Amino acid sequence: MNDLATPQNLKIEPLTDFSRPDARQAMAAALEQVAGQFDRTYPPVIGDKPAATPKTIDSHNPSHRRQIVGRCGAATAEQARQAVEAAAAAFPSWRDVEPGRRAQYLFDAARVLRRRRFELAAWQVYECGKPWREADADVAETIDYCEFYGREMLRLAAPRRRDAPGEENVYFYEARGVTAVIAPWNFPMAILCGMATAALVTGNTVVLKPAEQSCVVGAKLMEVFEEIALPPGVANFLPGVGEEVGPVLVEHPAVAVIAFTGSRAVGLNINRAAAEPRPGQEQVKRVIAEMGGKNAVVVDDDADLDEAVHGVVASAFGYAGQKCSACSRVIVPAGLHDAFLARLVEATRSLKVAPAEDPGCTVGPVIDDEAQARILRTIEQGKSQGRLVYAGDVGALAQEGCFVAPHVFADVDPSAPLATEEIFGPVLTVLRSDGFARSLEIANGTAYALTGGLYSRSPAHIEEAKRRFRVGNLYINRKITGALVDRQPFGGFKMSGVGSKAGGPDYLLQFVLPRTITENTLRRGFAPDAAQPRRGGGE
Amino acid sequence: MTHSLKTAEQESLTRRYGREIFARLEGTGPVPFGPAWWDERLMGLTMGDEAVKLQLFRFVDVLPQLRDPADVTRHLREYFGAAGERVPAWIRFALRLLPSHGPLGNLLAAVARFSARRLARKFIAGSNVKEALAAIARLRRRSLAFTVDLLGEATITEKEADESRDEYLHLIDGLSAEADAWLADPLIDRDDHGPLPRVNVSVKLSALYSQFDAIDPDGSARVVGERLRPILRAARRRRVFVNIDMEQYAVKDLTLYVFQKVLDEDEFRDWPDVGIAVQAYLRDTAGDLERLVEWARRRGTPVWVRLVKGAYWDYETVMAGQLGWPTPVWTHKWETDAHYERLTDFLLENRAWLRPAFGSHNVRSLAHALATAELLDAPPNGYELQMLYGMAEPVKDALVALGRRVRVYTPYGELLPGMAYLVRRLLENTANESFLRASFTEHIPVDQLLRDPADVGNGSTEQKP
Repeated sequence: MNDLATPQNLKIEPLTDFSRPDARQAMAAALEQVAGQFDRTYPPVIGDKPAATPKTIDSHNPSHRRQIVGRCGAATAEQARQAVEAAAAAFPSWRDVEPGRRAQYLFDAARVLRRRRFELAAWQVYECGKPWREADADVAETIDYCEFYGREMLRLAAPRRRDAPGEENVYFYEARGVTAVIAPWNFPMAILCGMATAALVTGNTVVLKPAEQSCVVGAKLMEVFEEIALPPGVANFLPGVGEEVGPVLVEHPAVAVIAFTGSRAVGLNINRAAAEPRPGQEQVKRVIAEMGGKNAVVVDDDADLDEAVHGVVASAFGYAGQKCSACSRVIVPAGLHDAFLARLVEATRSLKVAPAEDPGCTVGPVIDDEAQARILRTIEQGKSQGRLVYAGDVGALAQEGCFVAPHVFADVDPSAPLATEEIFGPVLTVLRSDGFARSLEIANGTAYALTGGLYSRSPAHIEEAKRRFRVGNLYINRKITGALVDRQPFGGFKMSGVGSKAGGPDYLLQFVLPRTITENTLRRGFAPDAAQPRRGGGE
Repeated sequence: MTHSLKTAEQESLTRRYGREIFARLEGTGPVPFGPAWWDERLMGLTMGDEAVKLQLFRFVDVLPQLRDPADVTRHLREYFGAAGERVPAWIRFALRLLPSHGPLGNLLAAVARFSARRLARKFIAGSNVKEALAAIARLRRRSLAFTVDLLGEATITEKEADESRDEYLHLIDGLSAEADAWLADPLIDRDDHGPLPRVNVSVKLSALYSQFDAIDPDGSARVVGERLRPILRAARRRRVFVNIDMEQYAVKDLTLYVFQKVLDEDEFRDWPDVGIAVQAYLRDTAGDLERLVEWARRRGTPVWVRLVKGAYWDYETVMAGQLGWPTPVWTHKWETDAHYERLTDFLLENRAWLRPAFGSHNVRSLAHALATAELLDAPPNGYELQMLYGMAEPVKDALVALGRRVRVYTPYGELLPGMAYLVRRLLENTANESFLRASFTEHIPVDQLLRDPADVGNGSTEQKP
């Protein structure tokens, strides 16, 4: 299939159907196999050489905080510079590799990812506390990025021609240069791979900086890139402490593109730092930043409550709310408010908080102790902003891992911090509204515009929301998480990001420079097309 | 043996039974379901137009949620205003004239509610146990047995799962307290093994656990088991039959697993008054039945199997398409019908362990079951036929007249949670391929309706795909 890849024949990688016994067995076996490999250390890879580091980063299993799933070498600032330089050295020849060949590397990577699918998901279960389905979905999305961006490159590779008599006009795209990929831990492989493959396939060379909390999964992606034998220096792997290596990557004069997904504060810092030209810098840096959200689901008077409650719970507490797309506000009309809230609280109470490797887990841990402390602090502060109507208890799990049970607040003012600031944890705020127009106003009333949802059975209200609910990804009558590559290109605007859409038709354009070449083909009154027999002409 | 059964003899006996059933329907008039049903103007008006039908079903679906008459008129306008010319003139006229507020708006809302309630009452026996009992009494007077189904909202909380368990217990108590007072009817109260439980309850496992999920079979089985056991104990104590319903494909294996696991436990191992539904539209079902017969043999006590076509075809097809998973259902109606006949043969051959209940409104399918039973020397009361409340009434009466035991799947519950059930029934009754629609409103010749479904697949294209 890969040999025949065309821009049109993308097939989204199906999620694993865990109702099948063979799938459950494969996942259980992978978990067991991976648990036997926790003693490994993953060094930075610069050029094609592993680099020794003075320090290492222990990566903990958030479900069992004493368990270390692996160690990554903590790159130094000097090694960050070396990585950028290795990428810069590899750039000229990689840029000139024929686009179809570059795309083929991505299709090869997809093949390797499919082969290692359950194993790579198992690593995420342990390192990131992802429940089975979430981990599986991340690997599937990783595959989709490879297949999709590979095909997108094939599409973009055809130059645009606007020839006139005696003149050839060609418009085409060329790589920008070294790309620093700074990735988050919440989709530890998909986002890292998506940003990296977009850069690679368009002819840029990359330095991959995984989040500290997911550096082992990052190393696994690097193993995939090594297996497909990218030329040396084209992809460099740079695990490390963000504060140490991040500034080097952003500020290095040879870095042309910074692809970042993470918090608003860091994203804006990068944007500011990248704007400042440094000695030796030859171009204006391009920052592609995808940041947070304060995503709302609007529930209409006539919503199907079975669906709405279920969808809100899944959107708010899936992966413990640690998705940029997660629902953290639900806006309910006054007449429905109490009934909805009562059912929502009971549905939340019914979730199973458990270690991520337990197949019945519906809410796993949060990523680390720091996140746990931060979320608990936010909950504490929230008590003065509204009524804490449900506070889940994690019981004995509190000793074992970084667990925060789901929490639900109500009677919160739409302008209170609980209703405007991103929490990135299992905390949901229910807001009361007096009418549909007001609901949309509240929904739009934050600094963010990433995802949003509407549960309604009114055709007129659905139309109105399509026009006025201004977010990057609006979902109607379904959960607001789980965007699929190509089918639901993902990303927001306002303070949620620069308006880039991962997995969409415009994404690769951010990594390229368009060039126009005009050639005068007329020499001494003789042009190539003049040689063609032409009506009305004469010898 | 299944193969050798496919003889000319089986086919001709099937046709004979089919013609006999149809002959008994003749006297029931041109509108066999009575004016109360086929007279429904909306049904008649919309059946031909998929777009209007979709709007109507969506409106029926949302209606119970609307409290304010102004909301009802607003939704009517939104749903039917857009369909333009295809909406019957009187509706368009009414929508244009009627204000949202005031007595006329209220009247329109009340009429819409009344019509939907009337429609729902065709298929839903009542909103409480008392009304269900009255419906059951009416059924028994026609010599029809019953199984009661409790309609509820989706169970998305553990509190609701506890409430479902309690409602099933309440239902078992309520029905069995009345059952002794019913006049004995040997046609429905006995089978070839002796007396049958008079009360028969259908249970959905998804109602008993909010996190019922095949990803965790043992965790799901543990929690469902805790709520199912008291129901089974109460049923056994009060001599009530329990049938486990089959739902979406995603929980099919899990449902079979929990059923077998719980019934293998010592206290239920020798209890014969239990059954499970299986769906012929699933490609898996032949294999599932083979495993089920092996299991029942090991258990040492037979169970009943209700063979149905399956009611979630659209859902399964859409979801498989969306997820990129292989579709679990047969893609053509005739394939399901042919599969149904093969499974019928299998059940009748293995009726020592899997006691067959054939759930269908399709006269060909039913005739095939009757014919095959006769060829396999199954006594007429050694199996039963099941149909849904409010559907194919003349067919039920015809089968009773032929001396067969017919059990009516009788749902009751509040209107709001009943909507999902109602919409499934409406879809069934108005589908292009509906046997009932073909038989009763399109006047297709009997011989064509009775064709072997395998022949439909083998090239002749009189039936739409």
